Amino acid sequence: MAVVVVVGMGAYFFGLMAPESIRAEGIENSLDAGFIDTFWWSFKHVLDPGAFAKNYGAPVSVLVFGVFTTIAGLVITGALIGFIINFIQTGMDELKRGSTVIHEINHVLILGWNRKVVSILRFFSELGSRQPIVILTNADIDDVNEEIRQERRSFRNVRVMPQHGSPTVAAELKRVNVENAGSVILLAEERTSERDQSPDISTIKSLMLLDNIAWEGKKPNIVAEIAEKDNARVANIAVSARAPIVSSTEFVSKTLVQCARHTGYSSVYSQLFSFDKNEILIHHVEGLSGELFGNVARRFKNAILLGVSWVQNGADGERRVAVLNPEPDYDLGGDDELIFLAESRKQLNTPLEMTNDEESRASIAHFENPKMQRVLILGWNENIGQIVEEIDGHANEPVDVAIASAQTVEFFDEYTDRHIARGIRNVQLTHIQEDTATESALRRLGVQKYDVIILVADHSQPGYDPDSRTTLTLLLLRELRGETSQAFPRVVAEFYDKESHELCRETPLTDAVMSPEFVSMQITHLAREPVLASIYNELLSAGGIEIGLRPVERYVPIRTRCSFAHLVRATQNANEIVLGVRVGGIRGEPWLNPGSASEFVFEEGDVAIVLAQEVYI
Amino acid sequence: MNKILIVEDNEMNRDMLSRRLTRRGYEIVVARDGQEGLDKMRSEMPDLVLMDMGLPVLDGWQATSQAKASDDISGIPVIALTAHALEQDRVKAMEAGADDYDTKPVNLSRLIEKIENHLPS
Repeated sequence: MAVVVVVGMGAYFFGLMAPESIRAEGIENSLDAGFIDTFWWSFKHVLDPGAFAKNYGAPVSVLVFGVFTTIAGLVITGALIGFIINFIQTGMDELKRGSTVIHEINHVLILGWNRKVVSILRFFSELGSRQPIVILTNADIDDVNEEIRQERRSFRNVRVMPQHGSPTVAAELKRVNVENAGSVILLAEERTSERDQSPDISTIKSLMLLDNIAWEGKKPNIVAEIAEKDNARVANIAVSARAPIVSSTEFVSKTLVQCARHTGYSSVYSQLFSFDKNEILIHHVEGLSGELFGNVARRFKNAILLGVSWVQNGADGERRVAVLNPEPDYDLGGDDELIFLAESRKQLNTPLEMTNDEESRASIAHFENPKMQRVLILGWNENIGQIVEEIDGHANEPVDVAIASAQTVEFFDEYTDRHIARGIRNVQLTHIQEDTATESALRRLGVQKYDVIILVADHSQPGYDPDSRTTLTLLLLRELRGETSQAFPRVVAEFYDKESHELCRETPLTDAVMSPEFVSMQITHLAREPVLASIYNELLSAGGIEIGLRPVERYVPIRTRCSFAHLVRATQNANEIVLGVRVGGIRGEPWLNPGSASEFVFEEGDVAIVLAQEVYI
Repeated sequence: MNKILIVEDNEMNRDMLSRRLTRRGYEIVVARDGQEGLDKMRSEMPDLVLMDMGLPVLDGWQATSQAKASDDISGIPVIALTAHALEQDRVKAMEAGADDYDTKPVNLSRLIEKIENHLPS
């Protein structure tokens, strides 16, 4: 531009300031009739094409310079505007494609994309988290943006930045500023028919990259989802066992089996780990050293004391230990922190004074869980092997497990040889080839003779939506239930979509496991508080501590006014911790942590929700 | 200081029992399954073993009977710990060769009494 202006100033030597030129409206000499006025004239022509018109009456030589500077100015201005537009457009395209450099700090970084992301975004929103969320995925970024746009209403207050790129490339991790992230969540990419490779391979590669980063600041909480249980061990090696690994197969299978064992488990579980009211908090309370756990448990008005946690030094370095439901005579140490179920930490700092209440130490007999000797599994997916192993893990006597699905007998035999046969002690397994979403098949199976029916999300019929098949099967089971006056089996079903579950309210369904939702809930918790991994694991595994739903009359008399504090003391007599109650039968909603002063008049069918040692009878 | 081997697959139970017994002045060694328990009995030569019965790889009954059949470690007292509530489980544990038996959840003072009864004076 400067060159054009200088060339334009050449008009001075061709009579620009001559009296015949000054007659023209656009040529002025009021400042110095020299350099400044000439510069002004030339510069004006470069920037403003309209200035040429005001040269009317000037000599031809001056007009020639005017034409040149005007045309050159048009070219330059056009190029400048083009450059600016192009710059903005490129920026917009990069944003759209998700290939910008991220400068956020303390952000949540999600590596990978699957159906759980939307739930995770919703949970962060429910938490009121202000952390921006960056998603780095190989998936088509337009699809990702579209899915986020469709669900935007459910996580409106969360800032989401989808980025296209490979989570297994170090430069891409750097681009999304992994080193300054607050949490990193690795998700198993969705399986596609075109891809044979396990989605866990990418996750494990990313974990290895993360393990090799020399973290300068605080290392983020890292949690990884593994699709196939067998890969969890490799993933653990990749992170040197320093980050929780969530095996979605194992988690869903364990949850389904726990629901089969304890009617109402799924609603307790989803409330216990939801983000809308109570949460599990680890907190140090001053002045409790030397006190007995059982006594301390009764000193919190609006919180349930679940267990203790401490940092243990061992040969492998520091490790945080969390123990649920320790014996009531456990004497707290100065370094013990307490694990609570509470709405906020504010409720934890002022324990009530210890009272010398006279309490009965009546012994409470072992509770016998409902029988699970005959189990029918309808449908087929990759979790079947794990489900069978879980049933076996809880069994202390023979259990008949029949699997009915569209898989062929040959397929089943090969699968059991590869995935199930090892280490099964008590389960007798059979397979029946049937289309389970038909009435005739359900009649042939004689569903009434089973203790429990488990409907897994059925992948044995390609082309059919698993949730639709589950819904249809539940409707058929409702018809069959209507034909019998005998007790109908407990029915547990796996759903991918919450809305499908809503459709099945009036069916024999006793427990629903929304698998992506439940896994997402766990992943979100672990991204914030990795120590919860051992609590999740303990609550779902065979043996150890479990959540139980037990008749309230086991602890306190029914049809008599009773405070929750009274129930707390009574459950301690059975070495159990009461988390809450469910009144109104099986359709009642669990009420966790109602507060020690809350009063109830319990009826038959009401249950106490307890943490208890699993006892084999 | 007496050395106790805790053979327990459940991490929380193992952590809690180790912590409580360490505070009472015992030296603790842990194993996660029956086979590891047998190996540690040989390598660590503990003064006493607390053996959970429902263990992976080799269950507590098998591990106990194998230990009692091995000359080198048969003298180590074994207290069986189980979450099985039936009398027949107690009998089964004693038949496997356990020197004593206790149920979970553990009552620490009762357990320590049993431990002290079987430790060399």
